[in-house]
Amino acid sequence: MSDTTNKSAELFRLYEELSDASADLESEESVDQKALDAIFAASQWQLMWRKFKRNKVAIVGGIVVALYYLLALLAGFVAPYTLEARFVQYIHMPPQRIHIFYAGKLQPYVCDVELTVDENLRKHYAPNCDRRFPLQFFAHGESYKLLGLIDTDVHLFLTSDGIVSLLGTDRQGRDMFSRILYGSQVSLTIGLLGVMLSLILGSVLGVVSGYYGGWIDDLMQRLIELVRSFPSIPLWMALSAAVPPHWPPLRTYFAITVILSLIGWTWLARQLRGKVLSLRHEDFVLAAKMTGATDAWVIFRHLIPATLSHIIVVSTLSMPSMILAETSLSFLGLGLRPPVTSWGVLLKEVQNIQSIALYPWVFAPALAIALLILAFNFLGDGLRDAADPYTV
Amino acid sequence: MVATQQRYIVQIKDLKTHFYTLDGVVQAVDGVSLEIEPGESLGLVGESGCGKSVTAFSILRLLPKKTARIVHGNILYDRGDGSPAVELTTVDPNGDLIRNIRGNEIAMIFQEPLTSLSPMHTVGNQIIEAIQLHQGLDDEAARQQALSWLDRVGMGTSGANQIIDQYPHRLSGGQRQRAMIAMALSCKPQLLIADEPTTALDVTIQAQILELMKDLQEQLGMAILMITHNLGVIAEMCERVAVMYMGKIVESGDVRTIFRHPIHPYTVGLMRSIPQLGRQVKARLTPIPGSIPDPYSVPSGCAFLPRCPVPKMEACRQEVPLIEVEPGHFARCVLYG
Repeated sequence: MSDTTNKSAELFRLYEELSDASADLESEESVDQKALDAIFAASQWQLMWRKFKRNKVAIVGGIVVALYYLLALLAGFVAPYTLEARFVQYIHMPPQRIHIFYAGKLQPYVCDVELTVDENLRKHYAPNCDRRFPLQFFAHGESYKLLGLIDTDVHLFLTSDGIVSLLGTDRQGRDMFSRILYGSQVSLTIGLLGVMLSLILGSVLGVVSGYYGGWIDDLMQRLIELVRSFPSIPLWMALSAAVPPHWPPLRTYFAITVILSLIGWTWLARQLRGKVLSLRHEDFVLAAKMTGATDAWVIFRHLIPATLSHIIVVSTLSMPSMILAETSLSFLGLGLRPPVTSWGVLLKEVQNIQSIALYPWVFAPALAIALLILAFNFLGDGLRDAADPYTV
Repeated sequence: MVATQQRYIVQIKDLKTHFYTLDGVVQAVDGVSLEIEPGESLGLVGESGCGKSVTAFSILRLLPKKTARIVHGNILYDRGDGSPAVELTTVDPNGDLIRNIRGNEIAMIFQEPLTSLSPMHTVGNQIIEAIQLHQGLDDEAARQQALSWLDRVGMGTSGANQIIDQYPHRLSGGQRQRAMIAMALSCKPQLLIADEPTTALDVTIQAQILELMKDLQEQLGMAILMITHNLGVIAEMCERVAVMYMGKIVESGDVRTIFRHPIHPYTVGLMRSIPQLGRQVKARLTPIPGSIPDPYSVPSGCAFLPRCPVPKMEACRQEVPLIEVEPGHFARCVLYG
C-alpha cells in the first residue's frame, strides 16, 4: 500500500520538476505537431483548398476551364486565320489530318486536298500527299491585335501555302477551328459579365431581403417569383426584340448580357436569403449592431463575406447556364447576329439538314460547348463539396 | 476479490472500435476491457476524443454505420432474466433484439438536453412514446406513468402536470435534463449510460441532477456508467473509475484509491490540473504539457510517452499491458511491469 503511495508522490514530484523546465519543452515540439497545428489554425480558404485538392475530377474541370479562358485570351495567336479569312477553293472541307513525321524526322505537315464533284454535285475532298504543306510554327500571317492591344502577325502554326484546318471549313470556306476560338471570346465573356451582374444583383437583393425581413422580404420574394414564373424563352424574345436592330454588334452584345443577368439573379438571391436568415441571429451580427454598426456595414462587412464561399460556388455553377443561354438565344436568332462570332452564332449558321447529313464537322462548336459546360459543372461541384464545412 | 460467480451486466473484453475516414483510420477505442456490476456506478474519464463516448455507443451499437466498425473484442450483456449473455458486437444494429435492449434495458442520457429532445413534440409525448414502445401500455396508463416519472425526477406533482404538455424550448436547462432522465428511466433500465449529463448545466443544477441520479439509482438498483471529463462528478457519483487516454484504459480502480494516490503518469497529470479549494488564488492551474497525438497516427507503444514526465524507457515503445498494481487497482505503465 505504502509502495503505491510513494510511487504516486514520486510522479507528482516529477511533474513539478517538469513544469519548472517547461519552457524548454515548447521548442522541442515535433514537426508533426506543428503541421497539425497548421491545420487547426487554417483559415476557411485553406481548408477549402485542402479539400478541393483531393477531388481529382474537379481539378481536371478547373484545368479545362482555365485552358478555355487562356485560349480565348490568346485566340488571335492560336488561331491560324482571322475571322475575315476565306478560302473559296476549300468550301466545306472536312478536318485535315496532321502528319507528325516525314521521312523519319519530326516535321508536322498537312497534305493538299483534291476536289472532285460527283454526278450528284456532291463535293469530295481527297488528300493528295504528293503536295505537302509543312507546318510553320510562330509564322507570320494575317495581322491581328494580341489581347486587343498589341499589333502583331505571329501565329502559333501556319502553312506557307494551301490551308491547315484542324476542324474543317464551313460553307464560306472559313476555318472552323479559328472561328471557334474567336467565338469563345464572346461566349465565355458573356458568361463572365452576365454572372458578375447577376451576382451583384442577387447577392445584394438576397442579403437585404433576408436581413431586413418583413415587407421588404415579402416584396423581394414576390418579385423573384414573378421573374421566375415567366417562361424564359418568350421573355428573352420580348426583351431582345426591345434591342434596336440598328445597334452596333457590341452594344447588342452588352444588352443581351444585361437581359440574361436580369433574369439570372433570382436563384442566387433565394439561396443567400436563406443563409442570411440564419446568420442574422448569430452573435457576431448582434455584436456589430451593439457597437453601432450601420445596416450597410453589417451587410457588406459581415453578411456578404460570410456567404462568400457560397457565392463563389453558385457563380461557378451558373456560368454554364449563362453560356448556354447565350448559345440558345443566338441559336434562335434572338441574340447575337453575324458578323459577331459566338458559339451560338456558329451553331445558328449550321441549323439545316445538309450540315447534319453532309458536313457534320461544322457542329464542332457544340462539342466545345459540351466540354466546357461539363468542366464547369465538375469544377462547381468540387467547389461546393469543398465549401461544405460538414464534410471532412 | 472477484468471485467466479460474480455477475456483470456488461462485460467488455478488448474492444476495438475504429473509424474509417477519408483521412485514414482513427482507432477511437483500442482495446478497452471493463466490467459493470449490477447497481454500481462506474466512471469513465478522459479528455475529449479519448474514446469514452465511442465505448458507450459501441455498447448500444449506435455507431455511425458508414465509418465506424467494431474490429475486435466482445461486449457481453447479461439481460438479467437468467438467459445466457448476449454478444452485443454481433447483433444486428437495427434488429429487434438490440432495439428491445436500447431504452428498455440500457438507457442513455446525453450532454445537451435541448438537442436530444425533439423540438416538434411535447415533452410528455416523448416520454409516453418511450413507455409505449417498450411496455405496450395504453395511452392513459402511459400518460399516468409519464406524470409519475416527471414527479419522481423532482418536478413535483403540479409541475409534472404543467410540463408534460410543454414543448422542450419552454423548459429550462435543468428541467430538460430532468425530463431526459425521466424518459431514460421510464422503462426501469438495468444500466443507465450518462454521457456528460451535467456539462451543459450550471453548477447548482449540476449538483441537483447528480443528487437526483444517485437517489434514483438507489431506488431502482440500476448501474450507471458515468462518462465525463469532470473529475468532480466522478468523485461525487462513482465507486469505481476507469481513466482513458487515446482509446485505452490507462488506470482503473476504486475512486478513493485513484484520487488519493494515482499511479499512472497521465492520471497524476489530470489530478494536478484540477482547481483546488484552499490553494492560493494566484496559483495557476497546471496543464499536462504537450497535446494529444494525431489520432490518425498514434505512436506504437505507450500513447502517453511523448507527454510523460517520467524519464523515457525502452519498454515504453512496446505495447504496455494493464497491470494489477495492487488488488483492484490497475495501471498501464511500464513502471509497474
